[in-house]
Amino acid sequence: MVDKSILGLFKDPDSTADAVDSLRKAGFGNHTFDILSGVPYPEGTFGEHGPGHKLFVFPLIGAICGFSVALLLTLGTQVSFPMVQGGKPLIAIPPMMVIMYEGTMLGAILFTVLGVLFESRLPRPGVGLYDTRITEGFIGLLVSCPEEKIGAAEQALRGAGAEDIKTESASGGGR
Amino acid sequence: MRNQHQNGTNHQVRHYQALSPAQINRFGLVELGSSGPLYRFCVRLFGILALLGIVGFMMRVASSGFSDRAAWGYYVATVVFIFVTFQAAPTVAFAIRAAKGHWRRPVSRIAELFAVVGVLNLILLLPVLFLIPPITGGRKTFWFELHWLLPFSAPGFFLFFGMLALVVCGLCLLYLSALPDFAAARDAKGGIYTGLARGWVGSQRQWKMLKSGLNLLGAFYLMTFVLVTTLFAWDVSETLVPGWKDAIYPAFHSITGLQGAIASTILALGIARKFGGLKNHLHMEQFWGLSKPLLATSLLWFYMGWSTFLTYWYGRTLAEQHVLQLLMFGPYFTVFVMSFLLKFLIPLLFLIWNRVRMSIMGPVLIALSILTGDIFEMVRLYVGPFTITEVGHEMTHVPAAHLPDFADILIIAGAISGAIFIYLVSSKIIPRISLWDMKEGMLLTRVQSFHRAEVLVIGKPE
Repeated sequence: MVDKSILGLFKDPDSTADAVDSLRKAGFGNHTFDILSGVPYPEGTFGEHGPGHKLFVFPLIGAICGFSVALLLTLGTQVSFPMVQGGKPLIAIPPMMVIMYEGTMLGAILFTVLGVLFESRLPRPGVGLYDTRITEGFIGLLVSCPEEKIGAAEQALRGAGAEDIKTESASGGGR
Repeated sequence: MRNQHQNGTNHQVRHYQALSPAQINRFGLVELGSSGPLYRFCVRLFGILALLGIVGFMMRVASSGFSDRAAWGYYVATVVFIFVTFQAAPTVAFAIRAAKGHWRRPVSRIAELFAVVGVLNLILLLPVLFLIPPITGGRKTFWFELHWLLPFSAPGFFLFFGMLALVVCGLCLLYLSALPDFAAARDAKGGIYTGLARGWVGSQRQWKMLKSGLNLLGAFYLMTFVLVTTLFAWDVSETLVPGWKDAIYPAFHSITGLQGAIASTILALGIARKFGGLKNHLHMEQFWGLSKPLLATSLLWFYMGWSTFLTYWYGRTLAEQHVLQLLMFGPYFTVFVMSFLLKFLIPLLFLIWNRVRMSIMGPVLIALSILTGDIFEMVRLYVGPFTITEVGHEMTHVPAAHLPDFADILIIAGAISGAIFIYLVSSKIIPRISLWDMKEGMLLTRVQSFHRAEVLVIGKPE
């Protein structure tokens, strides 16, 4: 069954938190709603469940990949084109470490960016159900649920004092 | 609106303005987005100077080619100057963000915006790669060769690779930091910001990722900056001088970069406050906050330079004497004295005073002194070594000072102007104040009574 979305707009964090409580009481799970804001509110401000993520795995994987490529490059270069420099061993660890550091950094940087985009669910072709007032200070509470529960969600949002409510059909699914 | 309680309170309370998110958006997107006559004049001026720099570059190529390394000394010094000043500035944004200082909110974006200068410097670096001599022919070096792979020498490849990583990291850091502001601009104006915002809606997950990502990328930027500055120190100056074997030099160079980063940021803040419409957002505490690490890095710069000097002065072999002659007391003595005065003595003598640190004009003038000193410093560290053609373990003589010609002056002025030009143009697309950071600051700050005074109470949820 395809989920429908409904967006409640609130003027202040207290009424948003009340709406979160109402949604829970109405049987909506933590994964069915999301809070949209133009400001990073401290985690737990609305009594919401903190989103889990695996961002820190990305730079680690990137670092391992970058390190491995740099190791192969340096080893491969010296083994394929042997040239003794200043009496140093052919496989000389100190200069290799510099290249491996560079490779590790580049891999970690690129994978961090990928990780942030992936974990943020970006880029997206559009903004979905959204309202431009959110960047002006309003707080959005976006609920995604089966169509038959949309009424209960709307009731919970209105009961908590939502300033405005938008649904996919009313807003055309966009802004 | 200005806070009404002005009596018996500290400067932070006096300057505190309670602004709504909509007011901050309007300020950042409308007021700062408009281009005044001064801005247009500066863009044209620095654009023309940058074009003259290209003329200077063509003159240099025509007159010297790439075989006469000495002729390119000032070009290389300029590239490294831009690196240790403008390109170093995003490290400041990371450091003050990591320290979770509330005063840093209007500062971060001004420092992060310097990352765009990295694109120019990456292009400027390309000729340098062909000027670094090959590792064959008896030259002492750290590296193995990659001539089978590249048209330029191996050290050049590693320098380019490191710089590329730094530029990519800086741009990603800037983009990520500006993403919520692009979304605000998309909602207010649309246009190119719709594409730049990439569907950002400000979900709790997105905010969490943004903050974690900024911390990670900031740390990587600092780590990569230290590496690239080390490569500049090794491959573009130290190993060109027979007999210069100094383990402290890369660390000294890194400190030079961190000092230059703070100085660039302070100067940019001063200009943004005076001419860039940020008078109501940049106050004494931002300059005061940055002047303390500026003093610390100035002292460290002296300490590291002194350590290098003492080792060579005490050793006093012929090779060591020649190195000291080249870098300090010989043909570049005047340059060394200017660098010492502008980067250490003047900052020390003024920044030790509270009255200077706790002001706006004081740190700005000291920052200008340090940045001017950095030009002399890069001439000292790069122009001299580029005149040396000898290889081996020690110099037999110290070459005479290489003075800049007309092409060099055009190159220096053009490259620095090009960096300023790119910064100015970028600041029109990317808000030069972090709107979401400012909104978060407003969210977490309250003015409250404390006995008979009013104090600023700042929430620190992390």
